[in-house]
Amino acid sequence: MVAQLEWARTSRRPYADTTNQFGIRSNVGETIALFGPSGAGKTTVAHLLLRFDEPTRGAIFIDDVPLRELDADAWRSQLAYVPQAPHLFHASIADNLFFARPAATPAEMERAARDAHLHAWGMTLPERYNTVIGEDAARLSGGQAQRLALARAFLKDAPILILDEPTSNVDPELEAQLRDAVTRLMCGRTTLLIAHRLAALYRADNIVVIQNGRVVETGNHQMLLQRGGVYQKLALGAGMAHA
Amino acid sequence: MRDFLRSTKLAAPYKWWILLAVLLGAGTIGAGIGLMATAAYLISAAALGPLHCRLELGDRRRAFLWTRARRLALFGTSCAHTVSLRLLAALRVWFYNAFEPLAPARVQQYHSGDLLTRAVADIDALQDFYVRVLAPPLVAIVVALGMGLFLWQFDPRLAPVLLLAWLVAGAGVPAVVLRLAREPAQKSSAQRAAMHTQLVDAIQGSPDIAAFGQCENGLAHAHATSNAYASAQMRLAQINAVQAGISQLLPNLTLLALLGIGITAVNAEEFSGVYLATIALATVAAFEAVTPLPQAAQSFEHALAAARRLFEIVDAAPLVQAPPPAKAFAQADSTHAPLLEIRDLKFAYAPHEPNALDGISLCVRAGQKLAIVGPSGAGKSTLVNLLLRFWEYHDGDTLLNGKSLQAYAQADVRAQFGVITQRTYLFNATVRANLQLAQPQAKEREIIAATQRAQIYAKIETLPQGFDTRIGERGAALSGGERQRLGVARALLRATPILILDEPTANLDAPTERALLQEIFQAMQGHTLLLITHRLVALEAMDEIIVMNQGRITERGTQAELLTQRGLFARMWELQNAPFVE
Repeated sequence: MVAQLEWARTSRRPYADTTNQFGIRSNVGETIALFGPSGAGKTTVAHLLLRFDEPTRGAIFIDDVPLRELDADAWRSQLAYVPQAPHLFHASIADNLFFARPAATPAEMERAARDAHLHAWGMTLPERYNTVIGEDAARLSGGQAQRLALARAFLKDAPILILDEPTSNVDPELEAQLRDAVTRLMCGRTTLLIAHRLAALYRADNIVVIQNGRVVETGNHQMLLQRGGVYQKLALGAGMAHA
Repeated sequence: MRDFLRSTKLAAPYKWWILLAVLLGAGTIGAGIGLMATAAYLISAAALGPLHCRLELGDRRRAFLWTRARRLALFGTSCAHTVSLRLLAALRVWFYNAFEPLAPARVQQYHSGDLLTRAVADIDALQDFYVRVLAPPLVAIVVALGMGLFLWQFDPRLAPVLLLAWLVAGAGVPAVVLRLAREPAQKSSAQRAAMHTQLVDAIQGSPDIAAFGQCENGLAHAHATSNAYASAQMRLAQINAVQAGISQLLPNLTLLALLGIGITAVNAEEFSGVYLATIALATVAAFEAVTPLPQAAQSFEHALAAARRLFEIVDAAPLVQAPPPAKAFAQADSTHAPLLEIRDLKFAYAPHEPNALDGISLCVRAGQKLAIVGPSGAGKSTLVNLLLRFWEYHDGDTLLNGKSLQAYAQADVRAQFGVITQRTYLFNATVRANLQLAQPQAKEREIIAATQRAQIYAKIETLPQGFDTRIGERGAALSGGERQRLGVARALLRATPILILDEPTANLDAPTERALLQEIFQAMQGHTLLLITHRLVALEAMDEIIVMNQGRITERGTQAELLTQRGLFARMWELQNAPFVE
């Protein structure tokens, strides 16, 4: 079981003239949130953690072992990733879900769909879970795709969760359902939450505020509010300082 | 058959060109036959008796035939190309003219990839129809008649043998091959499509595949589809190989048969043996006219399928009826009339679908800022589609300057509305070119003023070549907020009476979203504004907010009024601002 995640002075150079530096720590079961404007480097961190990319300098440590020394597949088996724009394969919904854990039973699959608030919608489709989705089949809204990705994560049931919060593509009612699903998914898992909106950050154990690829502030919501830095400015702007 | 006749008709203006191409093609092969025949005659004559004068005469004739053959071949090829290129141009114009009025309501049914295939590949295939399908059989018939007459002179039995071989090689073999190849060909193209879909899927979904540790399964799947495609291809290759073999064998068998008949005839002293080699070599040369026929048969199927797909689009009726000829645009002729008025508008996308709009009435005066909010599927985008005349409505009406939208020419309507959507489309060109798209005659001063108002001027100044910097495909060099600001600048340049903002900030994060909206409102001061959104941000600046749900207007008022009403708007507001983790 993974105890700690640490980015020790990890740096990437997406542009020639900037060096991005990170130092983040997380303990088991904690939720750590990355927050910052678009293009700050949040998604890059997720990709490094997933080993889609290797840091140019520095290293990520898992239980004091450098990530690059772990077998990529074995490491990924410990992760569930909910990307901002999940890819839906040209296949049935069931296949799209089983993809997360091919050995799962249909009952487990349905349970994951229920947990992600996907079941009710699935039942309205002509062939239920066997309905083929993808490019030209039934068009899914952003919210449905997102719930499908959450259902995948429920089904995979991995100890570590990387959650790239969807941007404002769904209306508030749908968003409430998503929030509920996400909250339950995070329960008991070490979570890296990539947040695009302040509302997502309330209960994060540790919030890491990033700007231009650098960590500018860390702490929980209350601490950061009192500190009077970037976070407070953003929170005031969003009318959330009362919280 | 109907499709075949219709395709043929398309080429009618070029019938003389096609006829010329056929005659030249036949002439080329005829000259080739003549060349071989003369050569054979000369050699036979020389072998059978020393006749110098004949050789000399023959040499001159050979030289003449040789140059004629080359010239005819040259003219023939150039003529065929002329026809096909002219046809290609004509077909493209024909297709575009039919297609243009269909955009965009009808076009939505088709994939952009599919449309591109039709516009490019299908028209190319149809062009083949005239040069590779229509011409070769005609050439073959002309050559067959000539050869028949030629052989008849020597022995009446020779002609039917040749014609029989001709039928087998030119019609029989292609027909059998077509029949055999039809199923594997369909299978192969279906397998190829499946393979492409799967590959695109796997490439686009590669992060998901890797994250869920499904790389090996994905590879195995790719192997399986690739193997299925390969085996279908293999079957096709086998059929084609057998056909190629038969095509090689047939001229030789024919030659044997003709020689058999010829030898008996010569023995019976029906004609001189000098001509025997002539007959043999002329026959071999004549088969050149049959060689392209199996290929033509395959092209025929291919071209006909392409023609069918093109006709399908050309025959689709435009949804928005051709507007009456452009009238001078009514410049607010009755000053009392509101700029835009919608009266009890109802609309469904298809006859049996529920109404997407179910009795909408609203009114926008010049300079007003109006927001239309509501959950996804409330009908907000449908309203925009109708305003821009992308779809036709039949129930209720929309008045612009007191006159029904249906009475305006389409281009006049679109000139009234500027639109900024969540995906501002930027071309892979310079900043300036992207701006001038809105107003080609815009002066430098105006461009700078617009970009300043849209708060993007400072950013443009920092780009390596300022306004002349290329911004990459879809503006990849800019951030989401910057792209939208460039869109605002473009809308400002175009200076339309009404600006529609259709979810302009849907892809941006919250701080950027609020800032951008406030900037847009600032820049658009004095303009008439229609904001379509499901996010309740910066709405305090609106003169009126219309709340829509399931195709109806359920509430209206200012933000403060709506919040006290405790209806749908207030509920959406609470949900949106509720904490994330409870």
